[in-house]
Amino acid sequence: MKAGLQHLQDADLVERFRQLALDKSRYLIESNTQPLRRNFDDMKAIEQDLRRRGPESRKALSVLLDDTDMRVRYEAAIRLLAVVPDKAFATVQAIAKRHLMPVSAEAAIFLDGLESGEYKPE
Amino acid sequence: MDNIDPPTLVCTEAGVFAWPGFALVERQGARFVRASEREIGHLVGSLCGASVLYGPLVSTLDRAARFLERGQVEKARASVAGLHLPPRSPEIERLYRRGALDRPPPFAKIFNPDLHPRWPAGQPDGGQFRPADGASVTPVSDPDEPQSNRPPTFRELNLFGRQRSADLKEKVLSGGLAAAVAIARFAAEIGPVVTDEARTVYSRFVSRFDPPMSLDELIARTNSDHPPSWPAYENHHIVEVGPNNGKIPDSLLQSRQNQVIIPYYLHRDISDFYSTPNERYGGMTPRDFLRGKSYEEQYQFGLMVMHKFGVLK
Repeated sequence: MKAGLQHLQDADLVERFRQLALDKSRYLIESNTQPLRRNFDDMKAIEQDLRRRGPESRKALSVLLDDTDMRVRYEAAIRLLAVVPDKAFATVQAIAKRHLMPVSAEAAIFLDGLESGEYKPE
Repeated sequence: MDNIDPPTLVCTEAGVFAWPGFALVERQGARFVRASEREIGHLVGSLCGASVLYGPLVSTLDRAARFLERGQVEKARASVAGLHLPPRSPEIERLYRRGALDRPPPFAKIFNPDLHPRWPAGQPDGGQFRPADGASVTPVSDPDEPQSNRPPTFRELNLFGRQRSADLKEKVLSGGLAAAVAIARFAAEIGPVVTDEARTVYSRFVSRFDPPMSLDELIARTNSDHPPSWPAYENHHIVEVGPNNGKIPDSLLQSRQNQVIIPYYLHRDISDFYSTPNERYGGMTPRDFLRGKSYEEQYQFGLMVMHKFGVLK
């Protein structure tokens, strides 16, 4: 996916990111872990491309913090912690307090990493 | 029959009844007819856990029905008494006691069998008197309701069960839905036809609702005489075996402390978590992140994960 990202608008990248998050939900419910490496790398590539474009583009993912899908909100939030820290943190925290597995457990584990300082948002 | 007062199952000359008053076997004219496996699964499974569906419950009820038809009430009673059901779920019991499932069950006063039975709550005639020799044992949910949600294959049904159990458990734990209502709703959704596949998925759905247990409780349950079993449950190694083969002694990996039986869908969730690249671990999977760490470190990690997934208190 990396090749060609630079030709896309920010909004297109955001939509691609959203679709990748939804794909991840589907792979997980199917226990189809094979594509998850690629899925992770594709989300990472979008995040890095937006970062490369500058601070405003990097914030583009923040529209996903209000998405109706919890997985989409979570994947966006953990990549926005250094950009819109308060809202991103509150989003992760809210998901961790819910009980929707597996995303709520992932959020709770992620929060532990943040609070212990083992994970530092960049 | 267990020793809890009142007992979970009662056998009388009128039939076999589940607390707090649902007929599992009842007279229809000269015959005694057992309720459908689905209804038994719904009623007794929600009360005592999905594991009861894989014991001799249904065959024992059939045997009791045959004894009752021959007028051998004591033999029927002895058959039912030979069942060793797990204790009732306090949560479900509370729901029944405070009437959260609409009206009282039709045989709530079964200890006075002279009382005229009623149609079950939730039916068009719910709560109304009905003939003693009605045409059939009526399920709690309407079997004639269109079942458009029922996926056609086992794989789809299983995915549906995994997704629905996660969604509905979230609603239950958030206080938006009673557990018994969630279970009843799912039973209605998967349809009236009881197949082994539907029973498997139903049992997995119900087991996801198990409350978290302490580690001691989980280990004791795993090593009990009647541990919960597949397909509703799976054996979970707190420290994974595969990546540690040859690095950590088998005496630790296969020890009682390292193995617990947990609900099937939660086991899938946890296994998938270990296999999924994770931002928290620098893009590594948790499995790769743990590679080379000591048994103790991996054990503590495993407990933390079980806690976050709601398996461990």
